[in-house]
Amino acid sequence: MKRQLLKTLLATATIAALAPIAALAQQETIRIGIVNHDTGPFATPGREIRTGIEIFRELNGDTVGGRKVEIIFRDMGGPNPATARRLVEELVVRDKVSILGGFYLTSDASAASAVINQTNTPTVLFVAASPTLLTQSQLFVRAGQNIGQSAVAAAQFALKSGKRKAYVAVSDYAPGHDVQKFFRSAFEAGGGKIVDELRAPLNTVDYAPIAERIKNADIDVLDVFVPPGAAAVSFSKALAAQGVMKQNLVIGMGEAEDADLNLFDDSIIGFHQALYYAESLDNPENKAFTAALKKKYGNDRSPTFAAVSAYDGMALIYKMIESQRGKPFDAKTAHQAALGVTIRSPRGALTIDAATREPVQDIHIRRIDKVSGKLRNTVVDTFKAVKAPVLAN
Amino acid sequence: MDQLTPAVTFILLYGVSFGIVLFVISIGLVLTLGLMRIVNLAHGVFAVLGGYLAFKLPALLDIGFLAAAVTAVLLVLLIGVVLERVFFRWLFGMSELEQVLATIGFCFAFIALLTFAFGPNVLATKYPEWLSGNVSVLGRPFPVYRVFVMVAGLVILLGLWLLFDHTSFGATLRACVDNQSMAKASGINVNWYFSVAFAIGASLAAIGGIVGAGMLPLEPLYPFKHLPLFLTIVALSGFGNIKASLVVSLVVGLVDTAGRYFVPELGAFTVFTLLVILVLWRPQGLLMGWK
Amino acid sequence: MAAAGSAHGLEVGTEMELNKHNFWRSRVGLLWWLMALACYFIFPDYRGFGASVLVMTLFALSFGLALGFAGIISLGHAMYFGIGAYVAGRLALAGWQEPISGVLISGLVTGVLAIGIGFVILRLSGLPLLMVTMALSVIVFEAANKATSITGGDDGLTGVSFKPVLGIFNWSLDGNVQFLYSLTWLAVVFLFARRLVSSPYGLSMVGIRENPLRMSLLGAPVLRRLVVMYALCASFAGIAGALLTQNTAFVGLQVLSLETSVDVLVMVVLGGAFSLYGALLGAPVYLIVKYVTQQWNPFYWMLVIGVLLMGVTFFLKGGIAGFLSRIFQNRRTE
Repeated sequence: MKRQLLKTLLATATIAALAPIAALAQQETIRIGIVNHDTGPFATPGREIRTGIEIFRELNGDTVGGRKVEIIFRDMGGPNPATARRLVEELVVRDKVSILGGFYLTSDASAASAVINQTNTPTVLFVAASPTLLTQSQLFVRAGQNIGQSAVAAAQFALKSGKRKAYVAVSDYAPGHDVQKFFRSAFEAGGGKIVDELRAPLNTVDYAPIAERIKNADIDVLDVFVPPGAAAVSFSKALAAQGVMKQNLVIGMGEAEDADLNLFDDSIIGFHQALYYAESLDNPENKAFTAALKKKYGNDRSPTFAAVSAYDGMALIYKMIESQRGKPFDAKTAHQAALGVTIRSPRGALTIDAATREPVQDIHIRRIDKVSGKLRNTVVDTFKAVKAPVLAN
Repeated sequence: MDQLTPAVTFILLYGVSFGIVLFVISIGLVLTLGLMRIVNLAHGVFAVLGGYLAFKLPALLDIGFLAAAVTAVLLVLLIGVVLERVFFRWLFGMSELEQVLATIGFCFAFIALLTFAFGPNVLATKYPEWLSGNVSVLGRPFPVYRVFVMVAGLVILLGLWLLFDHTSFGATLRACVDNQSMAKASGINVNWYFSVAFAIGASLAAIGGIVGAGMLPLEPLYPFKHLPLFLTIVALSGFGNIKASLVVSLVVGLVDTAGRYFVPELGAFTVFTLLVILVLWRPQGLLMGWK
Repeated sequence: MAAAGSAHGLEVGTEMELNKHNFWRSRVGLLWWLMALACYFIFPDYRGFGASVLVMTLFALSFGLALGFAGIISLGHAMYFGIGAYVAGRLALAGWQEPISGVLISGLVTGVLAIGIGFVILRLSGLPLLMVTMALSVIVFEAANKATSITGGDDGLTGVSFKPVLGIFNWSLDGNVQFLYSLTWLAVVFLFARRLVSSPYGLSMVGIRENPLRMSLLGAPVLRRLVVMYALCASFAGIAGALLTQNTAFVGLQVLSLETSVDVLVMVVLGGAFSLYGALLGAPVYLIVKYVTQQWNPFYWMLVIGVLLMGVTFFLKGGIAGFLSRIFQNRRTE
């Protein structure tokens, strides 16, 4: 009897003693690793990604699922897949992060995929858009876009606008090649003809020869894809100087976000872009997002697709953490928590397809116009609930 | 043949205007290398600095573009003089390797400072209204901006020719290049001439940066990004050979434009393939000596 | 041919000649290796980083040999580093996953390639040579960028994996095997290089560097010797590249970039171009400073590195190795 009592007392005492510890355990910290570009040639979109993350934290706090979220940022410093792999290794092995986010360039993610698979770390790709990326790891989930979505939308918009003769001019690197493939496939499928294509080397400084070639071709639509920044500015100026902008439908992807429009002059008016976000989108999330952004960073800052992608990426990560409330972190269930969900994003509704792990979203066609004396992107058409396209061949 | 003419006119006009920008920027490097035997890998710094100043000053001081451009060039001249005294002068006695290291370091530091000051983005450069639009040249529309570039290049060329061939300053400078020890023995303050040449080179780079901003966008990474191009021109020109560097710049501009026009896929290769061929053929540079 | 009296346009920095090697061989040199090994134990969380530093050190050594002893100034050494990396990667993808032989094959391929290239370009010297090597390197980079089926383009080569070293040492995420494997290779190549440099062949290289005209008048086959040296350095670079691929199970385009060539030039001159230990000092210092500053604040590293480089040029003649040797020389004479 006494022994029973003693046992019970001991048990009760132990539980009583452990209870506060258990409560403390509920307040444990979970670490998230963000692989980003703070310096180097992609510092500009890198800054946008950081911004998106910060705004999300502003609006949603840094506690979720009973855990405190600690974010560890790592700087790629430029395109260097070896660095990406090393950073991810360090984040997972040394810093013990449970979930990874960030990843602007495709090569950032693909180099790290082996490590991610080995360590079973759920990963949200914020911007990296290559179609083949998701095959490299079952743990990848995409918060940005599959580049095919916008490329196909561009082709469909061109067809819708009655265009049948296209020129495709892209920068000579993987995303550019992807755009070429998807645009061509969708445009030809709709009865259009690709008159000519070209790939401009990334180190192109003077785009006049390229613009000249395009001018000499008999076309009615030009599909472009160049990295934002110096290349986009040079290319569009060259096109405008040759009169290509005025004579044709010129459609790109993310070359001229509202935030970048101060780099361009009026010759950019009429430039179209197919993308999953536009600053002018009228929904409550976008309003809140934009307001928080301007409040924190000043009225001169504008939201961009990179910032929104990061914002939504964080939302997915928080969903993953929330799913682990009250139990030890399990990578598999955390990853699954992001599949099939729909979140309300500043871009509209974003659904992660449970089978393909790709985003399903609206793709907007934006056009640059002068609104009250300022250059702005306005949405002229929307393709609803676009899934990640699959190429026929 | 009928198809070829418009292509040729295009390549001529655009290639030459591009080449002129390269010439104006690289001249300073050619001079520095030729006169002082200093490998200044940070030369692009003066070009980009001139550009940033010229496009930032109008808003800052509420002045027009031309006034800002002139001010910018003068500022860079001043900065060039100071830097020459404080930094570049000391590179004179060092080995080429040490010069490479020091100037790369300078470049890094400068890029970092520029990024702190203006952010990592490309600078928004808007030329004034009178530079926009096209004119008809050789039967095709040609941007006024590019005409301006060519005119500016011509003016600079004229100025350099007058300076080097028709002033005692220029003659003395040439003497310093051709035979330094003799010049020193004749009592010429060679160091002073070198400093002046350096300052001229820096201001010319600034002009090139300002005038060329429509073709070479201004951004902090500018000095590194375009270093291979500037080095190519300098290497093919031979030491201190201004006339050669003009020819080389034009050739590079034409070849690059032609390459990118006819075979855009291989556009990245043309200039460097040309470089390899030319250097293997004539290691001392394309033209020898002053003409 | 270069003009008489100028070693390929290169003026000798300090007189770190071959006779210094006897000195270095003794205690100080050994210290470096001990410290490197100690890092394995002292910084267990940084073994992966350490492995990457060792690989770059080997690459720097290959470049330092060409530069310091043969007087070959090249801005395109990354070409061989990158080709070595891709060869190792393609071998693995083709099924040849034995690491040591993979490294040797990569080294062989780059060496043979360099013989061909060397015979053409090593007639040049100074700035022209610099430019040609830079141009070749850019051309190879662009070609690799385009040849996506072979190189994976800018996405890189994935799915690369290797069998355990010697059949027993497994590659793992903590970098244990990578670190020791790379250190071993570095030691092997270093010993070979040291042997080479103090051999009569090595002495003739110094002669060639100092006065090529005289050497050729003396009957030394200058071009042939230069090409052999160049090819050896290229194969060492290829070995380093292969090691990188094996360590990281990935190959990216950056291995071929001009930036990489510039980085290695900076590392070697920083450490001291005329000493074998120059590369061994310069590479770790540069990489560790870069790493630490980036952790501290990613925006400051360019400024810190820039100031460091300028400081070393102005205040540390002969680089870090030169500085250290002066300290020890002084101490010895006391």
